[in-house]
Amino acid sequence: MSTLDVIASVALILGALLSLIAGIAVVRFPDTMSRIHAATKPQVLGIMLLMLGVGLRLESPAVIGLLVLIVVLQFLTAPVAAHLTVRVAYRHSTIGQPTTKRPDGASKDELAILTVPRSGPESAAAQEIAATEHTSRESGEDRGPGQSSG
Amino acid sequence: MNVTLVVCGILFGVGAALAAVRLVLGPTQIDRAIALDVILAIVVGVIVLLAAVARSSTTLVIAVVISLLGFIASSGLAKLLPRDRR
Repeated sequence: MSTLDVIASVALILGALLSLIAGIAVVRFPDTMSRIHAATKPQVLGIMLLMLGVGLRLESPAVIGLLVLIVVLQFLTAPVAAHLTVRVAYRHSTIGQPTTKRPDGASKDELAILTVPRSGPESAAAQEIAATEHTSRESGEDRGPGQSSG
Repeated sequence: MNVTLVVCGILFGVGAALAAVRLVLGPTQIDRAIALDVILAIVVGVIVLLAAVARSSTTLVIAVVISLLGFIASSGLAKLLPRDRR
């Protein structure tokens, strides 16, 4: 096992570790935004480390173009896909509301550092206001400002 | 390299299993889309790992295709999800 193989092994294991971290975080984190934040880590940094490992392991210059192509594609597409997903979450008004409870039963105030409160206190009136804002924003967005519905 | 294969296999397997847990439990469809993204990234990682262990570059093309497919899948889901209101 040469030195290059050792470096390649370390890079591969680090990339796989990022996948494990993303899996743990996707299960443990309380709301959608935190999960998206964690889920994009193996898509960019993990893939980059894995490609580094493969490139060191294969030791052929012909493969480098393919590896760089994969990394560049991930760099271009992963943020765009995450942004599209976040936009859907924003329109659903799930931001700031934990969709699952933490296993240790922490209250919402303790989770405030993980979530971004958007609609203020969780009273029924605030929820209603948020819902009306949400529907008006969504109905106005798809048609654009210039074309009003008849 | 066998040690690397086993360690990476365990890490990938546990990560994919946890993402599958979120895929099944996920209270909203958005969470399921996120879990699918993670699983697709892990699939790309497994293909690349096998190419690295076997010293063969033939399967790397599949990794390109799957990474593009993941983008198409998540953007398509983002386009279709607003109609499914919950």
